[in-house]
Amino acid sequence: MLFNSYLFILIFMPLCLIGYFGLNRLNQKKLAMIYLLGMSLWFYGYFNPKYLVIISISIMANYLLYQIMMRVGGRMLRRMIFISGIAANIALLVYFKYTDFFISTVNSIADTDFSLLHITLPLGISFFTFQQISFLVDTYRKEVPVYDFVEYACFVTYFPQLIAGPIVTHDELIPQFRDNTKKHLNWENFSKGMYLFVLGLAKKVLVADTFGKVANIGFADVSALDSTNAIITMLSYTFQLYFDFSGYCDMAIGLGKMMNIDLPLNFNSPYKALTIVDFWKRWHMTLTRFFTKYIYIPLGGSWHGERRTYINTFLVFLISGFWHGAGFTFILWGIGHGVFFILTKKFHKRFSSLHPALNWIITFGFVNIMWVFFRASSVSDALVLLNRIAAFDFGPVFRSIVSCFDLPEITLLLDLFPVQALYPNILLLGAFLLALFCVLGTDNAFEKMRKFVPSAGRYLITVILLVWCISSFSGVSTFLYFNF
Amino acid sequence: MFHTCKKWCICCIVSVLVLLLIMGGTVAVVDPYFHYHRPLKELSYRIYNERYQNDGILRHFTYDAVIIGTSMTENFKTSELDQLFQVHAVKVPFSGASYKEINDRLKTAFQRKRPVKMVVRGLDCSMLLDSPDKMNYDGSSYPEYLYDDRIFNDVNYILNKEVFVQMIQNVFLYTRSGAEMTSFDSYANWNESMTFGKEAVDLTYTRREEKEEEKVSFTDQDRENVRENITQNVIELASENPDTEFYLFFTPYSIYYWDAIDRNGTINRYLEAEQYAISLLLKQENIHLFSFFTEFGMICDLNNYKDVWHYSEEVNSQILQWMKEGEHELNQQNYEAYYAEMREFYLNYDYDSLFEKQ
Repeated sequence: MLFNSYLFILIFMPLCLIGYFGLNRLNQKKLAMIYLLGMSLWFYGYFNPKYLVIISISIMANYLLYQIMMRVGGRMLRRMIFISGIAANIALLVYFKYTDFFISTVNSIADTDFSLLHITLPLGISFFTFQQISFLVDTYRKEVPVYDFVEYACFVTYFPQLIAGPIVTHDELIPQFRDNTKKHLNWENFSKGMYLFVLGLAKKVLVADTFGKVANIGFADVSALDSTNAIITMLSYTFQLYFDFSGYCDMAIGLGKMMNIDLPLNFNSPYKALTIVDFWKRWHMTLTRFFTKYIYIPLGGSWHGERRTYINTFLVFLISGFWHGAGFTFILWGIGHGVFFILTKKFHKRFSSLHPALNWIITFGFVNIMWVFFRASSVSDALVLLNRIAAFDFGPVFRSIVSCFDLPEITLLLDLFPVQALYPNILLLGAFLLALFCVLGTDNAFEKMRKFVPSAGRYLITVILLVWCISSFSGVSTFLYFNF
Repeated sequence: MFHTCKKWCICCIVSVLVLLLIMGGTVAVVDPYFHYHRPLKELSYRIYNERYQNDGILRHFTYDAVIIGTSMTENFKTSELDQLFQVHAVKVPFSGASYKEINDRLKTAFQRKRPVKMVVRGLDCSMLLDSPDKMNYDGSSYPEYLYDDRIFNDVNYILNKEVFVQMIQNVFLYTRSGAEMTSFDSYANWNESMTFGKEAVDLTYTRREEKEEEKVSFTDQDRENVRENITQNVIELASENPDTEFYLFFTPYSIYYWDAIDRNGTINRYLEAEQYAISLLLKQENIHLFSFFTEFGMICDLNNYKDVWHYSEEVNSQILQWMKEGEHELNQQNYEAYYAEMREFYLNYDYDSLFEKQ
């Protein structure tokens, strides 16, 4: 189930909140947790009921390993159990995410003809696998208290964060589930959560999906682009990805808040970053936290000299690239960020001597270029698009791209004013300026919640955006005529 | 205005619910796609969106005859059919639709027990060899929530900003402008907005430089495809509804179509596919099958066409006239002769003469 669906907003969310708070009000705390678990499983299984088998096995196996590690005294045996647990989790992820990539790579290198398995990737597997790996590591380090199975299963499956993060750790979530002060409806938290949820929903439905249409057109045939349209394509994807992902995380944090559960911040206005080091402190922060804690530091972190630090940093970015997707474009994206990160660290004095505006342009420009690799279907496609930009061959914006911003409701409104001659170009320009303002001039999710007061302005924003978003879930398709 | 978060929250939720109720309620009452009821007498509706409105037309309009097919049937005038056959027809074309899509929509009308005496359906012979389950557009783009009878997925219709905006434009503003509801003569009819003639057709046609050798013959697999496609998507419905007369016709493409399949080396394949399809269709008693490909004067006169395939509304009118008179109707006795005549003509036609500079 997606947050941005009729089913979620009109049925699932009310049922979940009423049931959860209702059972807690009746002092059925255990039952409330079981209810939450059941709702989370419905949320997950709605995508594909087969996924439920995978996540259930994964949860039960990891909980069993946790129980054994909690009981076993021998150091060697604990270590063996721990290593086999980590290996099993990674094997599950590798099987579902990378098998076809490995087969096709072997086929292309060794000129073999092994058939691809076309395995469907269970949603959120990267997230819940990382969550459970971190749980096993903490168990091995004896940093985990006693949790019962329902608590553990709720921690892994808690629906707001299940499929797209933030990557939450057990010690952030389970104590909140246990906290009796958080089990009853709190109107202040509920309002803050609802407000953030609606803003996140608007980011996803109204902004990201609109820019996504442009990115889809541009990346579908990069060779057809000139410099103007290549730049618009690149920027559109940069905005799409940010608004999509951060919008989803805002919705998750908002949903959590409505249930009095605080989820960690995942995006801290990343496109405001002045250096790439700063960017990685702001982008997908819980992933960076995971990599730092469970890969960078175990590799030695920055304790073994500058060279080793850079190697460790590079390895983390390489793994991060591969985690994001099974393909060479993602690996190149990771390598690019790793190299630029190291260069920024190495020459930080030079970077800091530059004007902040220039630093911002360098960072934002670099991030944009790297997103091209992240999105392109092949390395050559990415290079073609970047070549098109570098060609300085500027032409008019494609009609198909302009029309992406020609939303019927906006057109209907603008029809009331004498500006017909200006649009749809004015809509395109307006959309980019608005997006830029949002990423540079507005607060992050936590700041929005902190500053929240139940004002008339926020009431209007919430009501208008929520109705606008809900009525945007469906559309009217255009059936472009083709010759049979 | 809001003293407490509780009041703020409740006001937000209530306001959203009220607005959604107004939006959904208006769409359900006005019903621009006729999903719940026939058009309201007080309003004028523009009928313009085939895949969104045709199902509603078939559900709620009063009719006993249906004109259906691809864009080749868009220029038909139901008033002419009504007059010739003493019926009350609706026109529900699906531009670019596969055999399966057209059949599925028609089948639904029969399943809803609509009293259909007569069906006029165009069969595009360029699609005879298609897989029987082929849909020509991405599956997720069809508004299935309108086609089925499940109430819950109607939320996609009633809480849909695009439907809402289109309702304002094509019902409210349309009514205010004083326009009448779209008639089935003018619905989807593009005749007035197009240019016909050789010059127009030439603009839409890129002729293959070299003629391909006859490389693909009519294979057993092709035969199976045609059999399944025709049986599943045409004959089954006719056999399940013996009281309905099905007037089917092969849409008469221009001579350029024949040049195209001659140049790409598939002309024999398509000819044989058509012959086999005819032999199958003629076994069904309530199917009246027509083909106008031996109307060579019409096919070769590019003044009848706007592109390789599409003909003017005069051709549509002529087709109805021929149907009434039984002209060009194929039967067990004449179809071999028809096929031989057609084959002889199109295999030996001097296509190069079409492209010689005047």
